[in-house]
Amino acid sequence: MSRHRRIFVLLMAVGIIGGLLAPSLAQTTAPRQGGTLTVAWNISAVGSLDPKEARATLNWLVGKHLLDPLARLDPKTGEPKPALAKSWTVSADGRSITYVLRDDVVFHDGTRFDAAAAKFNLDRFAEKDAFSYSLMGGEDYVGTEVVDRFTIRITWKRPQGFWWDIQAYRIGFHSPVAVRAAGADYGSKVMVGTGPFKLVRYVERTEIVMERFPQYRWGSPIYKHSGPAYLDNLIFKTVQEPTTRLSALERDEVQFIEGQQLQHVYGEWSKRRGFAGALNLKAGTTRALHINVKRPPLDDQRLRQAIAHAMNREVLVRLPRYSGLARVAYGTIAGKNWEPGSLDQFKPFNFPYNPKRARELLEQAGWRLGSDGIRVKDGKRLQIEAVEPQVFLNEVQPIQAMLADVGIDMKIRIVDLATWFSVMERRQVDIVLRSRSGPGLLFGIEDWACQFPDSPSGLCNPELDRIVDQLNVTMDLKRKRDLVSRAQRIILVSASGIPLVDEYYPWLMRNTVQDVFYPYDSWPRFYDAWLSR
Amino acid sequence: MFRYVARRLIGLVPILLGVTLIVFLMLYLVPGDPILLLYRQVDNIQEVPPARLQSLRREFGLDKPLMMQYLSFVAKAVRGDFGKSITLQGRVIDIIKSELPFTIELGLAALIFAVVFGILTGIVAAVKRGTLIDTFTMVAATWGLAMPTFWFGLMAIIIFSVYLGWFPTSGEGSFSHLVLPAVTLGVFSAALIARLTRSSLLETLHEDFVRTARAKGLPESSIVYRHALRNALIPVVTVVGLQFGSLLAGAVITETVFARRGLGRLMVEAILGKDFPLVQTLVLLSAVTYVMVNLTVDLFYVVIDPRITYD
Repeated sequence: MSRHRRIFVLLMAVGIIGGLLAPSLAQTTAPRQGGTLTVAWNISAVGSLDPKEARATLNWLVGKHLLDPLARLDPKTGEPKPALAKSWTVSADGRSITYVLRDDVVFHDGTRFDAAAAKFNLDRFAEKDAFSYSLMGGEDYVGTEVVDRFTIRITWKRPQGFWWDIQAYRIGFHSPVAVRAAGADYGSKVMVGTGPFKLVRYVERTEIVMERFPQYRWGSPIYKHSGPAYLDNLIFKTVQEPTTRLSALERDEVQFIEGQQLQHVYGEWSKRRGFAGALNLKAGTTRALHINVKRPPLDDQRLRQAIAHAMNREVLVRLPRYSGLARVAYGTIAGKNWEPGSLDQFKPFNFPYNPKRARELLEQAGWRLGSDGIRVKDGKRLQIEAVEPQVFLNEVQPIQAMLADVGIDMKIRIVDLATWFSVMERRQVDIVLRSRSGPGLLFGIEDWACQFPDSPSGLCNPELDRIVDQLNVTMDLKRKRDLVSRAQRIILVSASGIPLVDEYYPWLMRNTVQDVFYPYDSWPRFYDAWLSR
Repeated sequence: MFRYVARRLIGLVPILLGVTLIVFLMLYLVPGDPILLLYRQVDNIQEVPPARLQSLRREFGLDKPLMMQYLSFVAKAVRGDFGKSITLQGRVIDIIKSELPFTIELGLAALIFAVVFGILTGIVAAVKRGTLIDTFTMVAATWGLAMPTFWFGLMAIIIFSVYLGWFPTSGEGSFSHLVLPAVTLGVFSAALIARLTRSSLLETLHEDFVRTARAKGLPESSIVYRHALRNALIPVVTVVGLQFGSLLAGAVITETVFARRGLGRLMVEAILGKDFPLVQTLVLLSAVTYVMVNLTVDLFYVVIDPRITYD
């Protein structure tokens, strides 16, 4: 080998090794302060940002950057970890919790966070005509007592099984001075919390602009650091059209986008453009068929089981909506909410894809194949109706085809959201494909409980209703998981809920965006985030 | 003239009453409680305390009988009070005031583009009739008419923003933010105006007075621009007025594709959220605007054609 060739080979080797090492070196680089991160979503923030009234998902997410809770939840275990509270003690009867608060916290307006400020907030959230009234336990909330300057005790009439989830995701603390001064404008033009970012501007349906709060020193241990945020500014923008979001990302007008309806660009295409993808299981419920067990012919369990056997879930997860970025679901609770457990444990209670068995069950139920391939019984065609909003049409059509394959004629009625909720509430529907989002172990269960107002299934199983009641007053995580397992079994065996797809929440970002944190509720947090250039 | 304008303006009152009543009843025919709908998203259903629901229903007068609600809206609207929005924060009039400038900006820019580009292209096609230029411009105009607005918008973003980097992809605030949305919104109208200008001008160029002008030895440019075009523009002006309505409708798609603020998106979201006060006021505004634009067009005929009078 000539000298020149040896040098060339050496340079090539250095280049290749350098290229391989570069990403890992970049990851170990210390976070860089500064810059503006713009995030584009397909949803809008509307109404108040104040958790007392906030109803839109994006409002809560924004709130999580402007406000701090008493405790945050460990994304791996679901256990509470310190935030504004240093420590806490739950009373033996579970009806009260005593929190020892941090003594170094100030609000964005410079006023101090103490027990009086905490009590002001909690009592305010518990006001009877506030939206947050139910979050605080409603009638169960007795009150908050100031024990000393940095200690409070919250008391309820009975234990609050979901208090830790609620306080972590829906409750945050505001400056009493700012709340009183802003009056009705609080939450719309002004919001003063203790979070790592301060509110600069909020334009409903359009954008929310935040800037770093330099005095921030109380980051929860679930994060990588505890000091001020690395980003100078954090902006949330609404860009509904997915192609426009992707184009804005390509142009570096935004650096982080919601990847819904963009699943097809994940992988090599994105990598070539310098994008990084993040996939997190979506918290809430799985995409499932909710079957109204009260409406004939679906009151026959064999028919419901036949529907479950007709569902080819492997095909459904490859639909364009998911492009393979989803998992087959075996429970109605989302995999994310069930972590660290796996939904596979509910597999034995499912009715796997088996069209032959579906046909047998339909025959047993007296439904004979008609001349047009649709089954008939007593001169009546086996016809059911699915009611869905337009956005679900592409998912319902393959289900329609799978049912037609075993002789069930499923009509699809497309309605607006108002009508959809209305027919579900009145149970004027045979079958609904839906999912919900949110953290906690009640998701994927309460939709089948009698007391849940929007349950289209009408299952009303007394044991399931008892489980939901117990879950509402159980704080012990292990006991809760046992109850959820029992509830899943009831729902799945009755075939009133047929889980289909466990969704991922897709995000796309420029590869300069580092250390975005995805906690228990799957929504990204940008407190640890920084821009590498 | 003044009597004519006054008569037209008085005629506006029954139109507005009719339009708002029909929209009001149609919104009520759609099932669903607007207050409950506030707390329901496609994947999110929230428990709302009954006291909260009651206080909100009372606040927006939704606890009153249907006709009372409508009459109350009309009575307040006469005094300039359009009430509070159900879905958004604040008074309806303030919300519309904050969004209106963006729609006016987009609508005017689109209209200017459509009129200037459409008329110029139409003139060129008419003057160069039967040539390659005529064929090309008319094929382009047909293409402009046939293209869906959202597709054109997305293609414009991909080509001019992503690949060429000339304009931002979305948002508002500067001239460069306005170019792609205005062209997207105006392209259909421009194509229509171009085709109409061409045919109208060709027809006029065969009129006797044009032959006379040519016989008198007037230069061709003077014949086309000073004599023929002025006569040919009357049907074009009518269409421009009518296009204003389609620009308002097209703004919904353009604002969504380019993530712009404006009344189009606001209207759709208000309808989906059954936000009665906001929908009613937007409908009133659209109806008034449409009638006023048509009145302006009618008055403009006098300027173009001195033979027309309203006395």
